Amino acid sequence: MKKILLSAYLVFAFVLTGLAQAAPNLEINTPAINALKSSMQKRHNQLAPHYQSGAVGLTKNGMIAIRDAKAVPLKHRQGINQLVAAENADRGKLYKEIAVANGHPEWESGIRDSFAGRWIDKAKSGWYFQGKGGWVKK
Amino acid sequence: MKRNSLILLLAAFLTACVTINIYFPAAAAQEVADEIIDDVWQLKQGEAEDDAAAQENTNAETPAEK
Amino acid sequence: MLRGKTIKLICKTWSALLLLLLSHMAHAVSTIEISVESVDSPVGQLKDAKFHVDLKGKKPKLKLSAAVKPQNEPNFMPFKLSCGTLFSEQVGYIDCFDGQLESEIIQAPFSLHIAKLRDQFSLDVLFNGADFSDAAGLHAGDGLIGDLQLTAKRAGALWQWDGKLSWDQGEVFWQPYYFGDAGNVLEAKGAFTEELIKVEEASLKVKTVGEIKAAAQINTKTKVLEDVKVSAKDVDFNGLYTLVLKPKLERSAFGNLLVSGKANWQFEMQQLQPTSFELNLENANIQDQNGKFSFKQMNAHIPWDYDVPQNISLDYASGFLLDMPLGKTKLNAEVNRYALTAPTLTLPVFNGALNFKEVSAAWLGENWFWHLRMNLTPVDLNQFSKALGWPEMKGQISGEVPLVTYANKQLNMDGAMTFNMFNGKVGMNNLRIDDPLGVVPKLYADLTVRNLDLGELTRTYSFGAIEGQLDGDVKDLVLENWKVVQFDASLETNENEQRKKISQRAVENIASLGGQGTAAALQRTFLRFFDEFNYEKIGISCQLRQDVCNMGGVASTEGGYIIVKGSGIPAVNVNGYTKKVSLSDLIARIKRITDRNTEVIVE
Repeated sequence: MKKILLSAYLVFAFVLTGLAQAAPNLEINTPAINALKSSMQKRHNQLAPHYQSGAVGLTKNGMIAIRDAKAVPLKHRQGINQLVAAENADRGKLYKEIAVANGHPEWESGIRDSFAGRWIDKAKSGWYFQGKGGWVKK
Repeated sequence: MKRNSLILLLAAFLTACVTINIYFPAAAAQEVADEIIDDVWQLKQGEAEDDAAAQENTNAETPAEK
Repeated sequence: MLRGKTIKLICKTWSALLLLLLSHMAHAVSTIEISVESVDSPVGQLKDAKFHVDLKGKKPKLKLSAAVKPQNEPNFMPFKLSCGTLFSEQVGYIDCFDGQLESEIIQAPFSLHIAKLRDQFSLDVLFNGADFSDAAGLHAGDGLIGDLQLTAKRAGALWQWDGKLSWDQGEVFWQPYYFGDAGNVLEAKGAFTEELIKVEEASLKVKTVGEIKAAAQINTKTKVLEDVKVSAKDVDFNGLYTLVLKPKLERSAFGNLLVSGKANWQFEMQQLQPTSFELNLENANIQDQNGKFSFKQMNAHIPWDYDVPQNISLDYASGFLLDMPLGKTKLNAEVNRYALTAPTLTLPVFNGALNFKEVSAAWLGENWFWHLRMNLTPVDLNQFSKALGWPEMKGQISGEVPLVTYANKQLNMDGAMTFNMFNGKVGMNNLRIDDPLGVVPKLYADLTVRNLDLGELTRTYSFGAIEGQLDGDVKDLVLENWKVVQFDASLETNENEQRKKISQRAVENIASLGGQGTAAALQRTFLRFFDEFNYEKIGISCQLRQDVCNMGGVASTEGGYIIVKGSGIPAVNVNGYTKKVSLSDLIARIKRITDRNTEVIVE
């Protein structure tokens, strides 16, 4: 037997999915973004009635704020500050994480602006958002 | 098929050279904002599930390709 | 006689008004209207007051509208008060039934009895569905049905007072506190002068908590609570936590707990500064609703004093912290104003223990700052990997960390933790964890891998036998929410092991990581007749960014890299040509192989 025949080369060739098509989109499938998303998703059930009642409104800068605490039933008034603060902390981190995940921390404010517009566009009618002259009911 | 992918590749290459890392990708940002807001506010629940199902299908098939 | 007529008067002073009202009550007058431009008193001002007394029915009716401005408030507030039935047949006694008080901040149907003698005063108000709220809605009540009794006696310049407020229905929010369940009773007595209201013995019985006792001084000018003492003995911990502690802890890691057990609590404050505090817990269970930690059967004695150092002690039967089960633990520490120190704290975990030494912590500007030394009594890696949902591993973890610091929600470790596993060592250095209890915890570390026994490793995971030893480094490892998103890893076999063999199945498995097409490649050649092959080197490197792994091997070839470099006759090489690999795909494939192989070992 010839020596040449005695060595074999196996090819380790990955058949890959998903990698090639990643080009123009922003990466949002990271553990940090997913954790923030699910944290906000869980909180939304508590916040939704407050958006509807007008107690909490959407601000110009992609955050939320207490608009009228009196619209919150007494029972839930205690937790509302905490709820809004926690949501804003998550939103702030979300904008930052998206920028960082895409290798451009300086995009944070641009991403925040994009979100600010889209939160308001997607708000249900009856919810309040901050317009130029103050709170506007959608 | 091959020609299409070649054109795509070329296009990707060209756009990559021109835009990447320079301007803020406003359209892409809007898109991801929409996607995340839909998830967080649980809008379009039905569609989202369909999408996920479709994704799984393609994932399951591709490893078999050569 | 003024029969059937209306008396109209404009008064300038309060006493003139009362005198007129009372002296004409006895006469048969159909209505009395009195207007008062303004009245000044030490507690506030009244203006534009219009009294209207209707004497036509059997009993007189009263209507009053005015604007009131309590001392130290900027604006006048208009209000209306009416009595459906007014008795005032004796001087100094007034009864008002079907009363109604209305203003911007209050709507209260009530009945009232007032007795005012020279040095004595008593008031009994039954309110029947009262609502109140300040402009911001931070102090508000809804649907209150209850009773307020107040008596006061003059003793020189001092008034001694005694009051009881009970309510049977309704809810109150007094930021940040919420009283939802009715059936609460507040009893208090004390004294007041013009400048000071003293509350000497207050007892608040809250249905969900038990009895809370308090004493306080209120400065009427500044409205400041000057000295406050609060104590609650043997109360329900859940009630106490929900009512009193939770609102104050909302921004901390303890703001969202489910608790049970018994508690003793006391608290003292002077000039708005806390001066002492004590919390004792008996057989309490604490569970974080975000799932980050829990403690069972906890007993705690947590005293604190502004001036005197105190010893705190705490023990629990079991618990967990971030998926890590905690055994029975007893902790002691000294707390000195805003600093906490302990020579040793031992935290049993699994079958070993985390030993903290020279612990010191400080509470500065609403944040904790910690530093300590730490070592780990060896912990069984098998239990550890199972608890964390990692692949099962055999071995031990131990470590000696000269300095751990925690500040600004960031945990830093100077020193190494060593994982003794697979007859080799994995060292963890430069560990940093950001916001460990937050929504997005991030972990940064560097790992060094030395002399890992590939024989043990491949047997454990049923990958197909490889004999040899593995060395390598994993630099700049980053976990987000405990999931890996970045590292620069490079692992390869070293020269310590003389017997460098790789089985045919292992070759196939490595090759099949590349996809289905390559799996049976070996089977198609004459090499299928060999059980094992010699190798010179096996190695793999990966630069991971998010899910994309930039792959390499022990050496580069044209357009690819070598993962297994064979030696001797016959030599088998495994080459890779795909540079970018999805880590999740790769892990899924490894899992499929090890799972399949475990199933196959029936023999």
